[in-house]
Amino acid sequence: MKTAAFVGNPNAGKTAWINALSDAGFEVGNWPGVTVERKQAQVQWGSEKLTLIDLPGIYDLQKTNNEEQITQDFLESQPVDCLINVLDATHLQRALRLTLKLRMLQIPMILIFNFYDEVLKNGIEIDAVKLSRRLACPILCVSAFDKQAVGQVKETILAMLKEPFSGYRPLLTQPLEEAWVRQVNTLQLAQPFASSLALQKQAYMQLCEAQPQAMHQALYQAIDSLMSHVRQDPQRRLLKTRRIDAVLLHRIWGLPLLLAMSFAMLMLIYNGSSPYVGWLNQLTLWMQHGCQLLLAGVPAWLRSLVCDGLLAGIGSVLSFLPLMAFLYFFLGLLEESGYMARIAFLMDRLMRPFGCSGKAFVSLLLGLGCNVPAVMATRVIEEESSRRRTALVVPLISCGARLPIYLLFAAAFFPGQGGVIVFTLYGLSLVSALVLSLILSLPEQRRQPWMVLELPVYRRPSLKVVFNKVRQEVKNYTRKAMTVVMLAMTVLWGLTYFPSGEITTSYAAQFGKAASVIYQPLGFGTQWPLVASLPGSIAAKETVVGFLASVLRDKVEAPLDFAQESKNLVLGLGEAVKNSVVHLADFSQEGQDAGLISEIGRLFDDPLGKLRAYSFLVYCLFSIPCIMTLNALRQEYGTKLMLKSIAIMVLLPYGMSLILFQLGRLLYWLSMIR
Amino acid sequence: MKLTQLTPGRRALITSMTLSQAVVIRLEALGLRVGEEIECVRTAPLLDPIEYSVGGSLIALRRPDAAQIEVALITNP
Repeated sequence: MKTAAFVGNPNAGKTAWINALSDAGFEVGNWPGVTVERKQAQVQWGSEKLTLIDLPGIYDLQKTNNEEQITQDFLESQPVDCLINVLDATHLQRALRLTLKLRMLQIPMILIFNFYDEVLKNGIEIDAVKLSRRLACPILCVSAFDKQAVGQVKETILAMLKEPFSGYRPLLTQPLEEAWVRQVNTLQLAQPFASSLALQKQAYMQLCEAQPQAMHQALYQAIDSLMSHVRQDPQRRLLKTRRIDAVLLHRIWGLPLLLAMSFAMLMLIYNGSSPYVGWLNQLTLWMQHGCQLLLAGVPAWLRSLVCDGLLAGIGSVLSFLPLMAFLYFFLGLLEESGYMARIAFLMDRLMRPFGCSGKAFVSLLLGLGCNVPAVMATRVIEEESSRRRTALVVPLISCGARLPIYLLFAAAFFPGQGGVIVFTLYGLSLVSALVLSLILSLPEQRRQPWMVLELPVYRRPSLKVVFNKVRQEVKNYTRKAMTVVMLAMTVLWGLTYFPSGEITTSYAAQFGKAASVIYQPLGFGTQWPLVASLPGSIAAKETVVGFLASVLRDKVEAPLDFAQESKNLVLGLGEAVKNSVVHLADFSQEGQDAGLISEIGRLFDDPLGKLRAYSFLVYCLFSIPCIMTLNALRQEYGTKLMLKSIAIMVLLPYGMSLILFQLGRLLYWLSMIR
Repeated sequence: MKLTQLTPGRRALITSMTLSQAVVIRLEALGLRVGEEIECVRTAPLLDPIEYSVGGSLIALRRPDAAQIEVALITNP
């Protein structure tokens, strides 16, 4: 099997190309840990089986940042049969710099001049034939999502793999090129059995080390001479972007616009998805009923495991899939359009007093979806110390998996005010993150770290790329529900069923009751199910909801009229689709499991009930990060930082909930005395 | 003069950079290097960072970093 790797500047459209080439049917999988940003896909083109590798976007081969490190380590350690260099054809001057360096790796290379439609629109003239001859690489002038172009690229790659390859000559000045040839010959005499490609590469490296200044100059001369085949007004490319930025980055309106857009986005995410969430809950109930009928003959414990344990738990976790899909859709839009970098630009100064940068803010923003990619995103932060600090702060940001818990409790204890409750929790999460960052930055010297931020040109987001991202995330969430959550749910079910078959005397109840002493001062210790739900949240935060659903809800009995229920389910889907459009701007709708909500509402019926419920939510918000986040922290920053994070996330939620509940109770008593 | 003294809309030529090696490498990769023409585009709402247009790219720098870059003003537009 042969390997083709995609390389190029960030924002050059590599990922769109690899998606177009690998088709929907093939697995484009995330790799865990350090290599999460290196994605690969298997394809079968005719008789040739190929692995396509998507490497992170880089500007240079200098190993000055993590992306370059990953890319270069990969290219050095793994045999690659063909490089596909994707270039932003509207900005060749920069892109060619990388191309020239990539050529010296002596791997057969194809150049994709991407965004060619924009080239034509902007009146740029590129003499691709001459450029191709000088670089000795085939050049394809294309724009993504052009069906014909996809076939063209495929054929070129296949042809490239068959052709013999004798190496690229560096584009240097006469004396330097002669020096290179001499060096190759010298090396050849010393290592007669080494491959000539390896020697050519080695000779170039040695030349770079011997005469860095001259080689640096030669590089720019080569670019200038190549650019003589391109006619372009450099300002014209930026015209549209600068016009949009005049509004979006306005001195006065820039920040309010950012705030307004974030708010509108949150509205669309919650309201657009909640009817589907409601429908999925209906579906879960229907499946439970169906199972109850189907499994009428099997032992009671097995029926209980399937219906009350697995289906209830996984169903309630999966019912939040639409929410995830909406969330990732909008995050994808922000990323694809180019606005994400602007957020970093707008927020940088505001974040600095807290020891953060604009880029750190973007990491935190990604954390709203899932903390794992947020930890990965800290890589783009320039300085080691701020990178580590941001990674420690990320788990404080309330991820999408914690949202189901808030929504459930908000519906139970604060009916009609769900939006406010969720908003305050998110606010608390952000403020705590900033304060923690400030505290962590105190011992460090107060020198300001450097930051270089590129503001890419605006591009209409490609829906195909965004949907692909959504599909990946939905798949990951589902996989998580089917593996980690399912396992956790089985164990938790066992703890709630054995030894007696009665929940109230089960192991979980015994544990919950024993541990509730610790949680008494936080307000929610009086209810053992809440205490018992906490350990499971380390597997995945959603497990809290699944656990409560399987413990609290009435045991499912087969319904009287299953046929009628099935009919309602089908009708309900149409209703949900309608509601998701009609009620987009309406916060009052509740799409959730009414039975579970009323059970949860019954947990606390004293006057302090609301406070107890809120205290539980705060505890959930800050409790130990899920296993996936911990793993990401360990892989990126080592075990020590992970342990530090655990320590923070054990002390912080306890302290916060304690202060909140005791303060609230004090205020309540004072008001009673008066 | 320093790059930070360049007001929005004005252009200049970069004459020298006294930043650490890592920063210079990154800036050059982005197209910001000695001899290039640079234009100040705008400052962020809180006056920092500052956005520049150079080498066909838009790049934002923090004030202390930009202060380490020397430029010569281009007077006639």
